[in-house]
Amino acid sequence: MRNYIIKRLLFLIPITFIVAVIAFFITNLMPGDPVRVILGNMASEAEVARLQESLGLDQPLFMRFFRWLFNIIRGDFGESLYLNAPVSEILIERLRPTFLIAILAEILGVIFGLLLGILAAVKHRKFLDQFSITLSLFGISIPSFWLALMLMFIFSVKLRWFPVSGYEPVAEAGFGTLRYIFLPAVTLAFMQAGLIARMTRSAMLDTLNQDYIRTAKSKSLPTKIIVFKHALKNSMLPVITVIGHNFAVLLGGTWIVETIFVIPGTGFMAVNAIMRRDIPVIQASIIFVAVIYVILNLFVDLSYAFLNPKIRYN
Amino acid sequence: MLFLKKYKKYKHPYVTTSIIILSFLAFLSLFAPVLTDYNPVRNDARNRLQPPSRQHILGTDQFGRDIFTRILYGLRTSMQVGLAVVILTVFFGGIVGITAGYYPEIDKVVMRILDAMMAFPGIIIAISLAAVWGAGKLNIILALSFAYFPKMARIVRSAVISIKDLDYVDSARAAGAGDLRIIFKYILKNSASPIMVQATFNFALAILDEAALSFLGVGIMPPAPSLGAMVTDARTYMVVAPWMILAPGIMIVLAVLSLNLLGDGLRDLLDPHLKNTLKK
Repeated sequence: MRNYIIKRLLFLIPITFIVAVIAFFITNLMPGDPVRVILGNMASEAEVARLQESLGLDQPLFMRFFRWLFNIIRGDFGESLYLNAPVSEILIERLRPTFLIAILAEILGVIFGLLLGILAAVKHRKFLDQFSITLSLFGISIPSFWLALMLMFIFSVKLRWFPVSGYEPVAEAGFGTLRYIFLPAVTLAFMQAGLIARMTRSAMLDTLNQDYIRTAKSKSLPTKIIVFKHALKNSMLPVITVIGHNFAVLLGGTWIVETIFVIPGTGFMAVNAIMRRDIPVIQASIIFVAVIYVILNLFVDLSYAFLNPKIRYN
Repeated sequence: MLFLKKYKKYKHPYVTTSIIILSFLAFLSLFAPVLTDYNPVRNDARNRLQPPSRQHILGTDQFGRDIFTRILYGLRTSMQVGLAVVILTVFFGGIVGITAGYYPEIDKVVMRILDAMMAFPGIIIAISLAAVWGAGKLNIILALSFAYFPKMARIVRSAVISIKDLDYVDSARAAGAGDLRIIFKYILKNSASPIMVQATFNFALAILDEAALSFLGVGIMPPAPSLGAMVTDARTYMVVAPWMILAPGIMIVLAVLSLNLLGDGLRDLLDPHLKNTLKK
């Protein structure tokens, strides 16, 4: 077990390195010289050259990559070209709304996904199964930006239950913050619930076909105990994998819903940075999502070992 | 074909339903110029923001363009992007997956790179790349293919690995078949099922992501018709012209839903363990 954890931790190094390479080279191929964007068309050649030098943009790409990587390892993502502040500070400042939305969405997604999935598997080929399949299919097929706008139109514009857009931090609004993040979270939860329900259903169906479930049934154990104690526990592995893999998709989704609901989180920041070619911010945003994905999947793999003795002893 | 044989035997309802809807959508997008008299990009200042009527069955947008017409052409764009992305993904995912699966020497390196690429959600890679290369149909197709091919490569790789040591492949090798012959004749033919299923889901995802990119303004550029960009327009006029937002959204859902349904149906049909999901 300890060797397994160490091996998995060592895997982090090459993967994070390649993640950094991808993030750096994607963003450095951007058209439009950021220096000219900042200074405008009226700038003289000398001014351009001076700013290029101070931003380190006059060096060859390869040199810039290693200097950049070294800085990142120390937690320095450079300065935003527009916000005049270190990117790491901006990122940390903007983490909270994004995490609140993502976690609320994940909680809603897991609750409704598990519920739908279990119901579907237990009532296999009955009406509830069809209902749950259809609902989860809609969950993965509705574009989040459209769903967000529809929810906004119904619940904010027509019914006025929620503000149309904007955000107030927890420190100022307390539980009032929920009013701002509820609709964005529901939008993202819809897709998560769909994904989780589909996986739960098929994993539960597989488990319910096993011999030991038949044994439990023939002992006339109550269905509740068979489903929750015997079947659910053994169907959780693939479900946990789906949750782990899709948390990053969820974070990708915050790029869209934060833009729609004008919530000052990391996603809103990233989309704005892309529109303005604010390269250090884009790099940090991409790396942020990828690193969360990598760490989360490390936990998923470790939880495998924890939940499945076969892996633990190998 | 295995698929047709199985379909004749089981008559899977998902596959039937989705193929009917998809043929209808294909008909709409192929015959768009015949089905409507309007031009999808020409403005008509006198008919701005008209609600649905006999002349404009789904109303008009802020430039007086017929929404029904724009939806047909938008669907056309979605289908083109989806199809092109699927072809590129299968091609490159196939090459990388086969090489990694068949030659264990390079498998480890390729897999590490693919793992790292999969750490970025597709939509994020696509948004960033579309921003790098600029908006436009071709760039979106390339960006989405780049975002999806690692997963396809992994699927092809595991299919290849599960087949390449089977007895019939060994006997082909013993009979003197070369690598290329083994890959194409014996391995690829028998790993078609998971590739087909994944390609169908990729088609759905490509339509969804193209719409999202165009919605954010880094996809298909206006005035070219795109379902996602139509939602962006509709957003501004949501209160005064709510008909603008319903139609493009429903069209996206219809296309994506039927593709996902087809993917589910194909997976059921082509799965060797049919007994769990299908009635005999």
